[in-house]
Amino acid sequence: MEDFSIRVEIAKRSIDEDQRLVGGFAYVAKRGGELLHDTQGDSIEPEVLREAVHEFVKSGRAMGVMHIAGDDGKPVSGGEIVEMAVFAGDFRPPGMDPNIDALWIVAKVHDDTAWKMVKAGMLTGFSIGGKGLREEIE
Amino acid sequence: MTAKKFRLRKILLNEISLVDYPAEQHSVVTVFKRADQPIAEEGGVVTDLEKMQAEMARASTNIESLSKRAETAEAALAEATKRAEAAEAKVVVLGKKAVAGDPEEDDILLKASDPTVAAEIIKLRKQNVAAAKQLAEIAEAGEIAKAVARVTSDFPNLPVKAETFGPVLKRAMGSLSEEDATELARVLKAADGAIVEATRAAGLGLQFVAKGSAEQEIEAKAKEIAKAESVTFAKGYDLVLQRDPALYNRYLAERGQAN
Repeated sequence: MEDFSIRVEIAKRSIDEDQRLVGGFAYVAKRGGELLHDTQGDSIEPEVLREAVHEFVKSGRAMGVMHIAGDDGKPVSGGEIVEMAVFAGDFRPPGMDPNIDALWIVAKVHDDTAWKMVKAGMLTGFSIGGKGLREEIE
Repeated sequence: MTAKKFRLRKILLNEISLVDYPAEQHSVVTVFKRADQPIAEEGGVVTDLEKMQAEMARASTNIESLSKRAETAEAALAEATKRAEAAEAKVVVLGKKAVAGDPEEDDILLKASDPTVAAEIIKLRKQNVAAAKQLAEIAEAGEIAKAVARVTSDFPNLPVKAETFGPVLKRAMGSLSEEDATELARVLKAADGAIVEATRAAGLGLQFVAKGSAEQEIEAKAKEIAKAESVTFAKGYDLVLQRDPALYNRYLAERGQAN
């Protein structure tokens, strides 16, 4: 198993100041049916992502800040992921762009400083991090 | 060079983080590459002395030039080090202020405009909060222990368990004004003292008699008779009951009421 982290920009219009909610695609797996690769060349099939998300929901939906870990090795909490769904194939809301297979999340930012950083434009993206098997594509 | 492409499978998501996002996609990873260079130039033995001297002179000039450049670089490095140390000291001060919860901390964080530093400060601040919580719990336990000890030392005769009443006393004292707390302590102390007296009296076989009651009157008369007629107090008591049936009846009525 190898560590990985993938970054995606927060949807600019998806910030609710009153409720401290930040929404956006945490990961875009495919566009126009084509698997997308990040700067390190990594990609994740939507169905693989869906299974991982199901486990993530059960394990506590931790939302960190800059992937900083505390002394216990767990992410320093900036809040929690309160909504998430993988839209792929036919599983998507009516009207959603059919060319994008992606993970949509909404995070509630509890930490005051983290929230100020979001508003100040210091934190502008989501990054998913974890472990997985990395296979080279021929 | 063609970039390798990978597919991740069997993934386990540990965390979704809020992060800064580099404006330039490729700034995520910086790779230092060095082009391959020949180790040595081809060439044979130089036999021409003049050519050799010319080469030496040129090399000497190069060395001189390189030395000057090295000196300049050294000075620049010293200056950069000085600036870095000053910046580091400033960051330490800013960091301490931010972690300590200085009112200006948020501005400092935002001016620092380094999300990683800010995230570290969030981490430290959370550790501070956890430590403060622990300290508060320790202090609370200490206060309860003090209250339990106070019950044991100041009110040892109250019909309570110190372990149970101690926390109650602590909460009660904490919610009262200083004057009220003092009054409560005084009443508890008095109650404790009364219990001591009652216990002592019970040990001596004495009974407590209400003021103005028939029983008190009987006792008073019994003492008078005992003294006047040189009989025991018990005999005097009997005589009072025989000689004053109305008083006896009042005594019985009061006993009945009491029961």
